[in-house]
Amino acid sequence: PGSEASFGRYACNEMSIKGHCQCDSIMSEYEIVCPAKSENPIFKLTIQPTNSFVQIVCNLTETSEYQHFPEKMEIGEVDRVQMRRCMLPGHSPIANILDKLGIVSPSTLIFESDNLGMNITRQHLDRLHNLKRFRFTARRPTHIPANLLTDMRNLSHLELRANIDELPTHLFDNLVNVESIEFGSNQLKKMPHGIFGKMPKLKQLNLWSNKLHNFTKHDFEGASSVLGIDIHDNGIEVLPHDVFTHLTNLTEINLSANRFRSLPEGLFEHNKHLNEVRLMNNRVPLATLPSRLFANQPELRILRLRCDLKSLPGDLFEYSTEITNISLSDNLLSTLPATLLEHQVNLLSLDLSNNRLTHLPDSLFKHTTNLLNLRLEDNLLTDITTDLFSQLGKLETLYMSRNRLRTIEYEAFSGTTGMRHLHLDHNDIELQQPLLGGFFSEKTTSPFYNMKDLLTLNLRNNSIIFIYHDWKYVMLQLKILDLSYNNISSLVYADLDFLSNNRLHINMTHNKISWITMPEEVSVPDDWKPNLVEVDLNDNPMDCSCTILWFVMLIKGKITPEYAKKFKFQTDRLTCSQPSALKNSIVRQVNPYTLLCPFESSDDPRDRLCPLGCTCWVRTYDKALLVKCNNGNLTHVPNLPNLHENLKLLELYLQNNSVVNLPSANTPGYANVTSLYLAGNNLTHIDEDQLPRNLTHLDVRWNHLQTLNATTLGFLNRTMSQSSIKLSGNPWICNCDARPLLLFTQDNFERIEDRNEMLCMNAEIPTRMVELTTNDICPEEKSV
Amino acid sequence: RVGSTNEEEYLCKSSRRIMYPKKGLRADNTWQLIVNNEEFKQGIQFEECEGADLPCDYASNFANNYKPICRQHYVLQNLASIENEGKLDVVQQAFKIPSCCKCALLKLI
Repeated sequence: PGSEASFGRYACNEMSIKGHCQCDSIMSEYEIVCPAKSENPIFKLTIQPTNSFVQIVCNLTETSEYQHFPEKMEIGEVDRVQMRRCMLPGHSPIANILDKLGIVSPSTLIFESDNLGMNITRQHLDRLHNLKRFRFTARRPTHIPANLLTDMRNLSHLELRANIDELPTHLFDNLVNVESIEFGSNQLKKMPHGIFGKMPKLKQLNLWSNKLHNFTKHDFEGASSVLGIDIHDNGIEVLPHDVFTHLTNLTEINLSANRFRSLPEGLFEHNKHLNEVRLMNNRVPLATLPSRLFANQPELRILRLRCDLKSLPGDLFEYSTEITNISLSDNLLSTLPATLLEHQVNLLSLDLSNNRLTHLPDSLFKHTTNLLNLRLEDNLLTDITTDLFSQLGKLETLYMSRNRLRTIEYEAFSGTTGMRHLHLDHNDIELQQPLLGGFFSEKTTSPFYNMKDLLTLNLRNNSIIFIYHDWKYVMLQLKILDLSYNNISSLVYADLDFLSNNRLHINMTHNKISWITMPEEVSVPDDWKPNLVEVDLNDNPMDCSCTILWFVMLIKGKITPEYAKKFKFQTDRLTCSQPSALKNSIVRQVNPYTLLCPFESSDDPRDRLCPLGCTCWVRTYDKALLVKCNNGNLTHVPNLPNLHENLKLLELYLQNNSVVNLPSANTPGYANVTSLYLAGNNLTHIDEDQLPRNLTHLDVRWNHLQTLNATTLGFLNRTMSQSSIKLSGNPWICNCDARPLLLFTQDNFERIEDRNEMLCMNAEIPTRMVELTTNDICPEEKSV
Repeated sequence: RVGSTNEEEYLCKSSRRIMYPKKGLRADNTWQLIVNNEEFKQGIQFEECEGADLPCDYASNFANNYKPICRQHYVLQNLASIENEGKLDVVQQAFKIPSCCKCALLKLI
């Protein structure tokens, strides 16, 4: 007494060294294979000391091979022994095999084999009379002798699965202690009568997957101790209304996977302790259930009904007030009677998913005030009225995914203040609110405004266009906001100013967001602590114009304003859809210098802002106005707009025109030009008073310039910065008059980008100006 | 008795064994020699379905259009092995090891 499974690491090593068996230890178990090194061992033993379990797997062709068993093992006490694919050991008891292994008094024996070699007999169970649990499984049809269990008075659990088609009545004669019978998956056609009186402790009776088509009340005579019965998958088409009369203490019944076309009224009339009923996967359509089938059941709690139901009677659950869980998913229900749940004051969970519900009566949930979980997904519901959910103050989870919801009345969720997870994805919800003066008010709230404890708001795949006030400032616990696949078209900073402190993740992918404006700076209070908000903005059609400048600067990390510490933007796949020059560029990689907005142009010469025939752009990055008039037939500089006070620079692009003369530097508009691009025109001279005072860039390549005078050069010397002058392509005349120009190019090589290409055209062969000295073009002696 | 647990049943029957394979299937379904001799032993615990694609046990109550079938699953495990081509060289290679047998619900339509 007190001894435990004594086989351990030492015995395992000894066995491998000496014996003809191989022993391995792996994790907390031992695996013994006999003979050692055999590809196809005759025995395999698995010993799990911690589970008090031994498994013996055989690979025998005749019973004499049992002598190859490992010798002198002392496994000791184990609870459970499982023998698999072993032959019955002739006329000797199974206990002899266990003796050889030193297994002492197991309480459970599992004998599973398709290689029995003979019929099982009473002798095989000799000396196993203390077994509490016995399981015998064989795939081939097996004869069960009536006296097989005669000595098994201690048995509490019996499982026989051997394609048995008939059970001898006397098999049960001595099973006074049996509590559960598992005869699932046999070929039984009828139950022997009068057996239950001999098993006064029987609680669970499993008869599933047999051929018991014709149950009558006599089959269960004396079975008042039975609590659970499972007769699923028996091909039953009809049950007599009184069939369960004798099962007076029944708490659980499984009628699933049968072939009912109807059920009789009063089927459970005598079973007033029912707790759980399962009627699922009926193999033929069962369009409805009889009136009051589950009515007046004081202990009924769980119902699982799935059998192509098309309608339900309104009194189905009448006065069964203790029901907590009802699953009616995967039926064909199009609506429900208003009174169906009238008495279900304790209902916690209701599953109506995967039906064809088009409408629910407003008063359906009027009394189910304790409901926690409601599943209505995969139906055809079009609206949520003010009254439907008004009494569900404790509802925590609601699924209405994949319906056809369009309308949600503004007060529809005002009563569901306990809601935590709301799933309304894949509908047609717009949440349209009255427009105020053409715009949404900052304070516009959604129909979800009263659910302050919401953690999940899933609105994926709807038609939402607006971020509502209550999502940002009322739902302070919000963790997941899924707005992907909606119609949001733009974002401003205020749209993302969520106060939730719960590491909120907002999914805004696959919307129609074309612009996002972020301020350069927002003042935040001194004691401000950022709450982290993750926003996934990927897969939106961004218009990469000047309006997104600060957003681009922010996601590039070029600016790090204090307010932005709360945001984590996901933009790996956020690309430009416009303009064509930036199409498909990743927004985060766009050069902020390329972000432009069009500047107004007008056909009326009186308020002409952008000159006719030109295009004008604003570049917010450096506050520049760009006037582009290149490749036209302009003979003079057009009238230019005055520089707006927000802008600092004016760039004038006039390449490839026919401009002969520049206007006076004082000309309104022109006076503000800071960069002048005139390559490819007909300029023959430039005077200092034709150059705008703030000019910093000048490109006059490919004109007809022959020289520049000293005052003009003096101006350029004062105002130009590095690489800001381009002078090549002009027919420069390099004589004494050109001395100031030559000196200028020598002194200012860093300002003149194309100095090396400037040519003197007055000689027979053009000469590069850089190769000349003042002496070359104007010898000293001549000038003296 | 201490340590005894409730009986557990699985939907699919499988057998588990420690093996010392001398040959194994790589991820690309080609065979390669595995190092396994007296000096260098690589024991691997296999778990294989008993029979291929048999119906699952205890699965008589799934919905009408589901067919429960037992499927063999594998893991990839790195083992010291011998290159089949070129000079004899011991290399680490990933081999497909039968790891468990699971009941899959085949959806008919």
